[in-house]
Amino acid sequence: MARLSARSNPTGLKEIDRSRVSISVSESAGRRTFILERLDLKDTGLADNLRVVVLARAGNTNVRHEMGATYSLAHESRSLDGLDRSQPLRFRILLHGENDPKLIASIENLRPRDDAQSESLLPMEPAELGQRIWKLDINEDGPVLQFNSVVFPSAAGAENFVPFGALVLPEALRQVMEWIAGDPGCLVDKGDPRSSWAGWLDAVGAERPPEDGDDNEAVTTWCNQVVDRFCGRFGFATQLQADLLKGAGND
Amino acid sequence: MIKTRRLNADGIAAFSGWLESPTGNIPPSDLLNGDALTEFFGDFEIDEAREFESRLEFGSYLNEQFDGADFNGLMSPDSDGLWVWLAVVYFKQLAPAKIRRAEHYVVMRKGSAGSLAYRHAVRTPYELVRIHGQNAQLCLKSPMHTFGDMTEQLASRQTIAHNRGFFQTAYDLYIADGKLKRGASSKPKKPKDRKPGDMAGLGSVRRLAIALQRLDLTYDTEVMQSGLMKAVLPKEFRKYKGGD
Repeated sequence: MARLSARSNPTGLKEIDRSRVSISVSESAGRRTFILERLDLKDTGLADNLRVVVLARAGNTNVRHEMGATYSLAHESRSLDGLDRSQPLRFRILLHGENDPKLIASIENLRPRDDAQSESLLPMEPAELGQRIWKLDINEDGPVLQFNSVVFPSAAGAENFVPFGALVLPEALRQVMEWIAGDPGCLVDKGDPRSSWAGWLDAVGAERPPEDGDDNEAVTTWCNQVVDRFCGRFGFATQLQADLLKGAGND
Repeated sequence: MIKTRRLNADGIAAFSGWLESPTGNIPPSDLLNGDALTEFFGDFEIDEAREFESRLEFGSYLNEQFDGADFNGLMSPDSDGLWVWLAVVYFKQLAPAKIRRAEHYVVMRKGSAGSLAYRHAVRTPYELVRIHGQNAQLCLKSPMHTFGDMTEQLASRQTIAHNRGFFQTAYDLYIADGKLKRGASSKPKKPKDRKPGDMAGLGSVRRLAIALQRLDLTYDTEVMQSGLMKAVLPKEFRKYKGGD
């Protein structure tokens, strides 16, 4: 059944575009820190004396940092100690008046800066996963493909490892498609993180999900069709075969 | 009185193993003061023989003993061994009859659904009393060996567990004469299961947690005072507001 969007804005909260913010995360001696590199509020009509708060969260843990006023933002590194390292890291920026907790503006669901895949539909992030190689985490903000940070040093390292791409990405995509098929109306609800997948489905020439999300057989068939198209587009079997032959040639 | 110690990595592993296959009612003494498994931690002392009526009293006592300590430091992974050692010290009170899952005695920062550190029987009472003072009794009125559903509901998410305005509001709404008001911890039915006019569970503390999540979209709720929070709560909380 299609989902009705329940978005409203009774307090006139201003949503700032994520492209105006840049947050970087670094790690030294096992401790993670972040820096609010950029917060561009030019032409937003916002006062320059608002208080700026950064909330970092991962799973059920979060840390809060007061960053000063908009006219004199703190840009030094701040600690991320205490956050759950097995869960995706997200930031939220709040702006409000000096002694008034009502938000004037906010920037939601920010990921740390990653130039290689800043706007990926299926972002990849390192996580402490023990003996598990990968895990698809789906929350209200959308899916995140977590890879074992001990095995792969970076997202590019995992993606460029041919077996990872050939074996993991199709299954991760199938799980994302199941998530979408559970509520087919989500693709046309602009407030739903799944709506951004509509364009991708069109681009790979895939059909829209079955109208009845409870029809398990139809959902399974549709998911498999999407995965087939995805695999065909990237030629995973050909890539993996070439990679294996290359390895055999070196023996 | 004894000087505080912490379990090292080997000590935590040994205690975790003992919890899986306990060999008696209390952990082995080398987990208490053995030099191979423990080391001194800070310059604090505790009364190992003291008995506590509730987790609130326990948390208050620990706050007195750790007065002046760096809170963030004590909450960091570097201090996990301290909390585990304290669980060993007071194990008889924390598990008088039955040993619960390991995360109640060992700080576990990884679980299938995220960190389980909030379930620790020593760390969480200290943390909640430190942040909320007497308002923490909402979660900590329980006896030493009881974790409690209220704690699970409120401490499992840090956005709630660390929110002073929320705990003050919850205390004002649900505690009267030192006791939880009737229906305060009720579980509301899902809208599809609720009959017309059925108000059971509405306005309860579980619903307050949901209300906070909604308020969080339009307010910086961590600096929101209880008075303002109560003023903007939905109508369903009126029955607990009393004289408001």
